[in-house]
Amino acid sequence: MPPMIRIQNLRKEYRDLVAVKNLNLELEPGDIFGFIGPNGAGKTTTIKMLATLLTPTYGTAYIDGVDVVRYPEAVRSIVGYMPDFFGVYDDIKVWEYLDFFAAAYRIPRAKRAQIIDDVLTLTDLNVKKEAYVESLSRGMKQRLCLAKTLVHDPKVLLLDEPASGLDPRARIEIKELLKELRSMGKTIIVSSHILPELADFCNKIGIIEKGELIISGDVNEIIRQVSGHHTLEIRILDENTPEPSQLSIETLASQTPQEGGVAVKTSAEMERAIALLRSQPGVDEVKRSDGKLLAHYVGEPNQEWRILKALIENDIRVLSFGTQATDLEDIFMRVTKGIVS
Amino acid sequence: MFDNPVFIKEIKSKYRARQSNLTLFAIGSLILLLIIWFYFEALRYLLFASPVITGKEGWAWSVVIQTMILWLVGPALASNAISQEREQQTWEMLTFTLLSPREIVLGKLAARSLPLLFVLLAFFPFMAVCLSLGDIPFHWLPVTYLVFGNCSLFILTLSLFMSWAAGKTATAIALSYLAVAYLVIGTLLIESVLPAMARGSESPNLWLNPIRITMALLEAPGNSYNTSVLLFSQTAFLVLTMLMLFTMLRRWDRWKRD
Ligand SMILES: Nc1ncnc2c1ncn2[C@@H]1O[C@H](COP(=O)(O)OP(=O)(O)OP(=O)(O)O)[C@@H](O)[C@H]1O
Ligand SMILES: [Mg+2]
Repeated sequence: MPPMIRIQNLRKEYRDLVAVKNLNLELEPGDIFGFIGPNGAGKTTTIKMLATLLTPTYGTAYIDGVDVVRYPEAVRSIVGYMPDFFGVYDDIKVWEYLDFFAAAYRIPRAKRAQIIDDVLTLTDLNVKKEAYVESLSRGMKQRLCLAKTLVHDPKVLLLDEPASGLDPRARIEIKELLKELRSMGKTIIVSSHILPELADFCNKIGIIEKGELIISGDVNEIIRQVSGHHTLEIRILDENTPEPSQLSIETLASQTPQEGGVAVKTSAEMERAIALLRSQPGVDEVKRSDGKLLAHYVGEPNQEWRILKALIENDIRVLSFGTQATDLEDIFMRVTKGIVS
Repeated sequence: MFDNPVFIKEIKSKYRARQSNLTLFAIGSLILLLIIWFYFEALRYLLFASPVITGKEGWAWSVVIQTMILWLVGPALASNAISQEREQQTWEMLTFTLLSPREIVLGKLAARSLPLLFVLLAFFPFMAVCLSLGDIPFHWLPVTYLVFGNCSLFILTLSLFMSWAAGKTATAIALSYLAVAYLVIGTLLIESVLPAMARGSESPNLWLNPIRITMALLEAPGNSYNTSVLLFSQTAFLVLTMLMLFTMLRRWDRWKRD
């Protein structure tokens, strides 16, 4: 199958700043690509170039075989684009807003009513059909924008942080919607700076930093590589750890600065635990942070229990033992350290 | 035009009052009463056995009033047409659709011209009465309305152009009114330092002045001197209008490059 999206040496320079450095990427039809990177990494710039809204300095991309630089019109009819920051026309009704975009995509009048109903159902805005756009909540406006992105039934969706600025519930709603779109067979590029937000519905991810795609590929592959090394978070009972009932501002305050050369009261038990952890195979670094022990684990996957066993056998009173959630920052640290590549 | 989505959307969002039916009815009746009252008073002056004003005077007054409305209200109507879309971040999504720049520009222009059209329409019956009462040659009517139409198109295009060229609505409004101020006052100032004045004649610069154009309309649009004033000014406005439209459509996506 020919790739649905093929990005070739895509580059964008703003005066002396290179926002996107010779990006290359191929996506198959039906791929959901999570485009991850910190602020200013070049996500929006890349997506805008794909959406024909920005002219690349060099290189190009093909969407369904169509060159985005040479045939912007043709690309727009097969692509749905949702910007990271956008406004809506406040002073018209929800259905009129969608009708406007349907008309703007040259959908015949006779077909529009049905399409509007369909996208409203999909985005769960049916009850708001007759309401004015300005009366919608932020999450609803976000869904409305997604609805308008779908009116011309695009094969490819470019969604720039579709869930930014939403509360957890609205985020979940957007996620559900994206899963629905995936099942409809759309090819989607969705950007975010939070990995877990994307991990469960993307089949591919790419991490961009300072305009460079540091890593890209199958999501399970990358997660597997990354989660081979992670941080164990261990809390043990020691004299400095107050009982939860005794927790107060003062005790918390007296607990704080542990890092950066400040002398920290460390009980014998804590010392023992740190020494023990350091001696364990697979642990390459142990830190104290906020009364917890953070052990960086690079050993065999699924053998972390051995460390817990060692702690217990040495009479260390473990309160909790777990893995720190893998977040983007974490992956970045690894990726940039060259652990994964 | 009724197929143009931009036109339809603009009408819905700009001219649909959102008040309750009762408020709407009240406002509507008030405007209607105002127009009726104006007509009543005006016709009373015109039609009584010993009229206070003649048909010709009535004609002159309504031409002056309409000209003032065109030049003063016109810039306010269109100078936020494009900059506002950029300010409220809807511009990108609008240009991302399959709408051509021409459709967007013409749709907006047409929708924003409606208030001026309404003013001209409201005055039309009065103009017709004056025409029939005064000894005004019939050809004044088409000439006057052609000038009105052409000037409206020019003002609206000018402010739309400013809205496209300037980053902010406030700048666009200021620039549009500055252009109008130049035509009304600037041309006069320039004329006063030009040698043409000393010779007792006018330079074509002055012919662009809306006041001078109105004078030409009222004196005798038929006489050959005034005909050249009108022809010159209206051709200049039309050429400028076309030039601005052309520039906008050609350099439409200048924002794309940053
Ligand atoms: N119009 C512009 N002029 C100059 N520099 C720009 C312009 N737009 C973006 N940049 C720069 O390009 C780089 C990439 O920006 P971009 O908006 O693509 O980042 P991003 O990954 O989308 O970040 P965020 O997560 O904050 O949205 C940044 O350093 C930014 O400052
Ligand atoms: Mg961005």
